Amino acid sequence: MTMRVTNRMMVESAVRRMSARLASFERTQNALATGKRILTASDDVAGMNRALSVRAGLAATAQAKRNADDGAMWVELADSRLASVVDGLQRVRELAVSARNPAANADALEAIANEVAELREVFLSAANSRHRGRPLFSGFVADDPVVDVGGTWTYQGDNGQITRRVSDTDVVTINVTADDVFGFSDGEDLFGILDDLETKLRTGDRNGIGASIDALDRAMGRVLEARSRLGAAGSRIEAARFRADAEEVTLRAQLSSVEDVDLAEAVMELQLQEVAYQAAQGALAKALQPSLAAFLR
Amino acid sequence: MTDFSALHVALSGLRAAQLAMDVAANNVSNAQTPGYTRQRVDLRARLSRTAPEGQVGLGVEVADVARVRDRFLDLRYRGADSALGSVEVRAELLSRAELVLAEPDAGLTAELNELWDAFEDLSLDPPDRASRIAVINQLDSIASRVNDVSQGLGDLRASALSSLEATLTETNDMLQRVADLNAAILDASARPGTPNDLLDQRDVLLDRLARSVGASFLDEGDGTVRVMIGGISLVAGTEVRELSLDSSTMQILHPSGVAVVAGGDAGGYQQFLTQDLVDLTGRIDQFATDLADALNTVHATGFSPSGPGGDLLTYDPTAPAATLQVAFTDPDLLATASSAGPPFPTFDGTVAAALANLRTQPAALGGTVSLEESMRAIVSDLGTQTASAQLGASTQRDLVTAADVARMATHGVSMDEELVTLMEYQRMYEAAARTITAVDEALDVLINRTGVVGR
Repeated sequence: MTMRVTNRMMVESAVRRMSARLASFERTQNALATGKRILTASDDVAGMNRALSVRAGLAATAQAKRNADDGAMWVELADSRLASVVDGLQRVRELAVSARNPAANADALEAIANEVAELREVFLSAANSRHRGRPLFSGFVADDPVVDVGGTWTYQGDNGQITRRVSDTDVVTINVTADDVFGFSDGEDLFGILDDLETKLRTGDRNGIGASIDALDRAMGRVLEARSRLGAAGSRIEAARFRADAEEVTLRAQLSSVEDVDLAEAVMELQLQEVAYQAAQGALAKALQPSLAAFLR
Repeated sequence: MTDFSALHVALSGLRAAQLAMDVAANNVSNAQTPGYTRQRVDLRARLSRTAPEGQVGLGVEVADVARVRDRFLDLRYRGADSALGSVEVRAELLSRAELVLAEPDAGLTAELNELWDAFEDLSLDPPDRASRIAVINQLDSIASRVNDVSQGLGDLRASALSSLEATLTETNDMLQRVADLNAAILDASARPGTPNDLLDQRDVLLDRLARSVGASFLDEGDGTVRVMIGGISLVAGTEVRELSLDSSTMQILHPSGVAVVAGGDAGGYQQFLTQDLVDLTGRIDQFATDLADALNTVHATGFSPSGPGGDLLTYDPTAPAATLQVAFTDPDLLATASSAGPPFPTFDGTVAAALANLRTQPAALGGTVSLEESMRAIVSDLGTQTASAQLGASTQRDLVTAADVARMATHGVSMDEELVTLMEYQRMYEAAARTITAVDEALDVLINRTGVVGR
């Protein structure tokens, strides 16, 4: 038996088909307008899940980059301060050596003592230097790390290790404390050594200067060790920063491949759907026109 | 009957043809009327008279003007449409729930990422007031977002509940109208002919009842139908039993106190309200609790200049998501340091970093997954439910369409067919009229021209 085709049925089927065409037309248009393939989770559950996870990864990586930049800056600042200390220490050592020369008279020793005192102030300002109000060498504490308490040089910071997370797993310590750098923790602080040297120079104690030179060499060793620690931290940060950049590019590419519309494909799709929609309209107009009534007299 | 019964016979043909044309005209007029069933004239030959020579026919008579309706097709359509109602309503509500979560751009996962960033920025420079204020603001922002989601789900619940109530009100109204139509049809059965229009009206109501609550129907044989849900009568003859809603348990109650298992739209609302939404609300509450507890636990290990860290977020355990809020607004109370000193470690950001580390720490769902993962699971699960409901709806829609097309093919009016019918009966009418003319001419011969020989 052939199926009866009734008027209402034809109209309703045609309308249904047309609105289905229009709905997919609208979906593609929406995707094109927003540039996104996934607007809600139900569009593509697995894709959404990946997109959210990649977004979290991107946020963490972007933050790790900020952490690394901040850490690199601190390390660099501390290192440049310590570099000036190293230069100064070399000068002090030269002065001490020249003071041991019997040719140096009392006036010369006095002049050397004055220069040593001057350089001590330079070291003190380096030890107490700050960046944006924050001491570089006092651990977590906000006060100046090195102060003169009743004639004794004292470290008044703590041993706080300032760290930066530079990747998911890598945490780098970016500070050294004046406690270690200037020998307070070894009971032989640089400022005491310099005070001692100054006194010897002013009192003309040439024989004692040799001990001071040894102490200066040890002090130099401590500063150089601190610089090498900072250098190591700096290169770890740089490596992590490099990896973070590469990772960010990868993650962005992943996010785009999951979330974004393939423009060429979507435009093509839109064209096809437009044609299909117009065809459905044309078919409806044709199908509804002929009626037996037109042929009866 | 005497001779020339042919006049009466032809008259019966004229009448039948006229009536059939009336019916065809009515069919054409109602071609686009929703719920209209095409009607057909059932003709039958009148009983013959017995003449000495044999049986002679006495013409035609109209046995009935009947609806061309297939009960089986109705059954199929209503079953499919009832199932479509459930799944379509649920798919619609679930996709609205997705909009409430507003993932991926404006949702809680994005807020979480920003919160961890804020904590981490704070750990870089703990005494920085701007960073501290940023943390407080972000805590406030995520708490408000959780409140918004809770509020949005509450609104969705209220909206689904009021739709369910409206559906039941409309259902009760339709039940009453079915009972009224039952009465009218019973009444009409005392008169000859079938009350086609009343039957059509009732069938429209029965369609809508299947869609709204998944009701089923039983022909009682006397012209009335019994309306039932899960074997429980809602309309019996002219009696109506109205449904009511227990808005605390979301049960649909029969006057007898029995909870009926509704299908159709009402079933969809019920399933969403009692399962999907309860589940989702519970998980959002769990997320709010996990978030506050995880942050508070870590913050409590820290110190601010004014002492150990207190709670960062507070909530009422009976409604965590709705009441989640930031515990204090003074940025100096953020406990970023791991010890109290003295001297106070102003630049110690260890605890701020530990808070930022919750980014990846398994702090949610009893320490099994990270907060971000738990939120992501909520979004994914809701997405899966929505997608499968939408797929189900689209499959079911195809079934309903097929059933509807089959029904329209049988019940609907075909213009061409009606025009052919119209022509047939027009010819029949002409022929019957011609018969009368022939008999008339024969009578004329007999009456006026007989016996005039030689006149």
